[in-house]
Amino acid sequence: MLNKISRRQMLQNAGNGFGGLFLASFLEQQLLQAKTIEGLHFPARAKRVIFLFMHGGPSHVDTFDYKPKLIADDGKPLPFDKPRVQFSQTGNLLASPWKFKQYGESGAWVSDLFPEVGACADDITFLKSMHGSNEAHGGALLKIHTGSDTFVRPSMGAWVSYGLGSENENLPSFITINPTLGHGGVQNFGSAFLPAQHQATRIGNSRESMKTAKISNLGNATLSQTEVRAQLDLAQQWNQQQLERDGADSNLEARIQSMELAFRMQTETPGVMDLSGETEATMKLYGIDTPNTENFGRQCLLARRMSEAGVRFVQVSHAYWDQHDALKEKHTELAAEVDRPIAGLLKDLKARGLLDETLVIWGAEFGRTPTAQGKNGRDHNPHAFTYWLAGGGVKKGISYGATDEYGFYAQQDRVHVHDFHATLLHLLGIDHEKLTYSYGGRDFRLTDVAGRVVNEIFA
Amino acid sequence: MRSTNRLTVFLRTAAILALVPFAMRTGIVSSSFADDVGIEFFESRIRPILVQHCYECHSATSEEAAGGLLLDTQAGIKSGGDSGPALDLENASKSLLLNALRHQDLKMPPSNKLPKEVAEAFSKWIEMGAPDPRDGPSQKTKLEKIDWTRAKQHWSFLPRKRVPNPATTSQWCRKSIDAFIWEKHLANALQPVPEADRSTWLRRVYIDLVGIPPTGEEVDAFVNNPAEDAFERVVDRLLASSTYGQRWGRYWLDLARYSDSNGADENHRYPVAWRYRDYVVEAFNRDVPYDQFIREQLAGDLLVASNSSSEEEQRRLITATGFLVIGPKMLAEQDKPKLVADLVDEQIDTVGKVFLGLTLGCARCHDHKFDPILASDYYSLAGIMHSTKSMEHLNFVSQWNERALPDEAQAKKIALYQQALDQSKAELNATQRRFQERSFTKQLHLLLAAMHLQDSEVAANPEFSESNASIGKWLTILQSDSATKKDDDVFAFWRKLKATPPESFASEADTLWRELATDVAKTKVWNSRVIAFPAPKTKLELIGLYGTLLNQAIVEILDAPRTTEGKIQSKETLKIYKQLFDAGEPFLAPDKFEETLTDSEKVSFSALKTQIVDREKDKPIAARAMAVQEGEVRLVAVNVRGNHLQTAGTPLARTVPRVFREGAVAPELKIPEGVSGRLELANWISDNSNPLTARVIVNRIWQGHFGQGLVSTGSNFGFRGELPSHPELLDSLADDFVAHDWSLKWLHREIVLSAVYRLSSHRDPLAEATDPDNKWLWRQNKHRMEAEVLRDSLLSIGDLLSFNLGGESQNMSVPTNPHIEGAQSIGNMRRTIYLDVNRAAMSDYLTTFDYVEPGVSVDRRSNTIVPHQALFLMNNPLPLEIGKQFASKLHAMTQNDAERFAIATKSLLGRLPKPSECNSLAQVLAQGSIPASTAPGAHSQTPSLSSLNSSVEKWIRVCRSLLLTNEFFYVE
Repeated sequence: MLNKISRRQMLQNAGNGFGGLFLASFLEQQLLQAKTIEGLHFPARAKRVIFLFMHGGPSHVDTFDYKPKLIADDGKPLPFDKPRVQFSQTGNLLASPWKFKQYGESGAWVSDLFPEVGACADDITFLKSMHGSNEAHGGALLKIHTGSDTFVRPSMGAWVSYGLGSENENLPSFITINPTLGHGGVQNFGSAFLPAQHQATRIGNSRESMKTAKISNLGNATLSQTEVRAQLDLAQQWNQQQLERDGADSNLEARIQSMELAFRMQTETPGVMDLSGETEATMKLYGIDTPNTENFGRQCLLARRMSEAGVRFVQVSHAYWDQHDALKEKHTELAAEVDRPIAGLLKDLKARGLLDETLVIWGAEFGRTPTAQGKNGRDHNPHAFTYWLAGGGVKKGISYGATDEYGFYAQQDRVHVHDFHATLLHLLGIDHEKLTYSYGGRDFRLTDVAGRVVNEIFA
Repeated sequence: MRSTNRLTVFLRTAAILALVPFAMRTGIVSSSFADDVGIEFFESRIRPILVQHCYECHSATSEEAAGGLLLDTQAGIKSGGDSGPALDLENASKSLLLNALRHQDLKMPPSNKLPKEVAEAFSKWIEMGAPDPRDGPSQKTKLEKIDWTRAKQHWSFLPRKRVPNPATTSQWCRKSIDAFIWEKHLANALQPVPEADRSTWLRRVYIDLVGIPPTGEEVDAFVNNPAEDAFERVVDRLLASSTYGQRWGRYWLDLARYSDSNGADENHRYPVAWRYRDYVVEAFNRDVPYDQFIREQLAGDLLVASNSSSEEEQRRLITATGFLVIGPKMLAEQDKPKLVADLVDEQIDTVGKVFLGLTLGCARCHDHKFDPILASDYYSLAGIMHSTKSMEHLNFVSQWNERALPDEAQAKKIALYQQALDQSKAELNATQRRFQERSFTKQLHLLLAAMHLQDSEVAANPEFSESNASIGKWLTILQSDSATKKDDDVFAFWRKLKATPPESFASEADTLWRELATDVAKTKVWNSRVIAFPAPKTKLELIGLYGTLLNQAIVEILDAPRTTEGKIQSKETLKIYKQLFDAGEPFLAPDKFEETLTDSEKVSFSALKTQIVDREKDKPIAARAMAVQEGEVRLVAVNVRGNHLQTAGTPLARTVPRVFREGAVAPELKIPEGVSGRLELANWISDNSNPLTARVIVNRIWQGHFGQGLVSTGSNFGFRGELPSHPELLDSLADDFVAHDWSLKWLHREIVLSAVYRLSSHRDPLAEATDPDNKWLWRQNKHRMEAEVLRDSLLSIGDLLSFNLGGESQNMSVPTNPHIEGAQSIGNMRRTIYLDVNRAAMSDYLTTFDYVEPGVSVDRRSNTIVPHQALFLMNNPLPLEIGKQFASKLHAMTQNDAERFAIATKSLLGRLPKPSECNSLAQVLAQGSIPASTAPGAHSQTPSLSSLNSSVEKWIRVCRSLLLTNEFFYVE
């Protein structure tokens, strides 16, 4: 059997002339229908991804990376060197204002900021030795999302869409819900040089309430579906006549198909986005019944519905965890907004039997310094932060990697952003070194020239 | 887990140690004792590690020597790889190999840092002089990547080769281009399809040259024009129109990664980026010779210095260098040298791709993997950009460079404006000052009067009577015994002395003064001022003292120098101010003086203020543009692996890549002392003899007209790029282009008047079987409307498109004219090239239709067909509104349905209707007027032709459907 990726490259070449890409992706669709697990580089452990992105950078030492020595040495100077490049100057060590306790059989230490997520700890793999390279938000966001803080590169969701295609041809394969338009903005969910169909379809943005957020042009306020269909029918009649008159043309045929697909999307997507059919218990599970958790609860529930309907990569964003000061107040407030919805999502996926095939990822662009900025704040820290993963083929209730005794640097079993990307792709059945795209005379990959698969966390 | 790893490594090492050492020594012939020790150390401690952890990627047997580094011979380890020598025998600790083993800048082995004992062993070994018995020949030559002889023979590095036009008597040929095309047809046994009909050609050439379709009338006029030169006339007219620059300028902006914001990490607006955009549009319209166009963008500022150009020309030339500044930058990168290195890289990468069709940026981290471009070549060029000032500053959030544009007339206007404004402000200030003084003096009078109130003369004055509310306030304060302020109370003296009888007044005051003199703390400003005067002998003197001090104080306050925020600078004055005017104090603060104005004073005072506001509204602005200037000359050494913290060798002289220096073709590049070298580089690139430049641009223009270039990789003419399909044609055209003074308009004309351009885009099964990709151009290529063409065409069909040139970038959704019908749906009516390009928040519309990623140079847009495009045309208010308005107009124009349909197809598709289309139309029009059964917005899963109420509604459906057709969306 043809290796799927090389088949894709063949299709890509076929589509390099005008317009052929849709055709390519259409043919590929047929291919996907028939695709067995052998088509991938590895057996896929997960089919879909839900990425819960905490914009701003929550403090790992105040959430999931318990540092007793930091508590003990509160107010003392950091006994080793701070990084060469820092975003701001920080002072002495600052103990976490929150208490930590152990959860579940795994005994994971989680702070009081995340009691409900803590209760799910036995389903989670914590990656405590994440590290990146950029100390400012924009660069760090781009690094996490695209693997590069230097060049314009496709985002990881676009790579996943490119690598796996869609599970549901009536829906986009990559959706981002309420993303930030700052700090790299669309580049964080764009397709760069990959074909445009792999960029995320955006629902709302970070300034928009989930109640009103929608996909643009998915319908209109003035025409009935019937009239739209009638206009489409007439246009398609003429399109058909043109083909008969001028001879076959694969591009024109592809567009005829894409218009039909558009109409199907228009009829199907609103149903997926409509939360009104969910039970009260579900709404409650996600915290949609409570004002402070409602918005993020809606995002998480929508993510579950999208994922369930076959969207490969759904990103959900929450902001703004950038506590240079007012750490105690703001982290408390922000964590309270997401703790229940996230736990709700995990429980809901589990109850529906979807967690095994859905990889849920929680993380941000970086962590924060264990040293204090002002009296009640922490600076950016790309040298150490925590990600956690649940479902989709990762071990349950383990912790991988470690930071130093204060949490300033990732120290043991370090996981670079590139390693994280390699691991993510591997879980989806893709070899990160083989998922390449040729552009401007070079083959590009999500992991550039690096990336180590963290096999140790695989179930 | 870590300790387990460590243990495993040790155990493995130990095992190898036991097996290897002496077996490996057999090759040594003679050795001193010291050598023996060294070699033994190598065999026992070094070789096992190399074999086990390094050879996989760094030996003759590895697939490719990673980083060009071989560690399996003495020669290899000593000569090093792409990143420079692996060992530093002078300074062992600085060896790259150790750096890598310690996972500092390089990290080797990449996934598994070896225990620090290993690095220590290597360190010791290097200190010993790196004794190494592996004295076989270096395998390096085998892996040498650049074959210079071959490199210099690469087709695009050779001079253009002029061959005579193929001899042909074919009637098919119209231009010399066609002979070359015809020759390939012949060679590949291809019969070209017939030429497209006139209306198809017309729509094609309109959209290609100016980006909008012809109107119905223009279609009629051309189709029925019997003149022999009808085609030429259309082309000349379109090329002369300023809409040409709006169309082709945009192609250039794709290449130049134009944007109105920085994108990257901090998406700051580029408030004057549009000036570069306007420069480009104008350059295309003026047909600035392309070689000149290059020089302007790389070194326009330096051209200013070298000739006595007009001011307007100077502005144009400075603005042109925006090309180098407009890329994305990591403004908040705190590693500032990295910020600069990335910026320079972005410039080199863009210059290389855009002008030379070379991916120079690939040589930042190592020698180019495919092209003969060395890392040292890259850093030689980098010196030119490092010596150029592209950033205004490198503060926390850094700022790109902008320059004021010379404009003497404007400068005069600004000076005059400033003078008038200063005058108005002075007038305002003087008036205000007068009122403030008056207000305070009045208060002071009241206060003093209240102090004097026992005095009969004062009491007799009705203004100062006790019943006067203003004076009452002061009386209350003066009679009260409680201080208004705890500290340094202004009225403290009064309170202490007010009841003192005249006979003991002098002595009590004297005592009080003396107490205070010993007691007064420095902070008590008021007290210290009071006691600076001799103690009053009478109450009258005390009142006089208050008068003097308060008068002094108000003058001091009103005259006090202030900060830009308006705060009094002197701490002492500020303290006095607070004593008198803080909330709760009895005095009305000077800035509240307006409360004391009479009605007529209020009117005249506010008139003064309005005058200033009005003046400021018309403030003439000194024009600025994003632009570079000469910086301090700075040569750079190779950055190992692109890491600016790790350089190898000495700083490199600025020059062009070796393959050009040693090749026979390109001109020499010599950079005088003290300049950046930009001008020299620009001259080198734009020299007639540069083998790449003309070929690259001719190919781009060709690509713009055929959808594919003669070289299909427009920005890559290197080894990884495609070979030209018609090399002789490319060279001939490039040569003629240069001979025609690098005129782009000449080039367009040659192309669009050729026979091959005129071909139909219909497919022919026979030819398709031979040449499915249409490499030999036996037909034209259909292509989809780009984002700009689609939106501009829609607006143009609605007669709404503005052809205005230039100016600040526009918001797509803000209506240009809020009063027209459907203004909200239509939004902005400027051409799409003038819409704001926000790198971090690209409009959904643009990205849906394969707009460029504006952070990088794009030589060819993708051409996807995705459902979101159809959704836009089906649902977006703009096409719906255009369809509706067009239909209503059509309906009103004539009663005749056939005429209506003819106008519609001519305006929307550029041709007359076909019979089958008329049949479909008849079906729609024949439907009865049955009330629509579906409410707007209702969902229906069983679509069918719904009923329409009126004839105009039927025509709306028809027109909207026409906008949904492939024929509208495609340029045939």
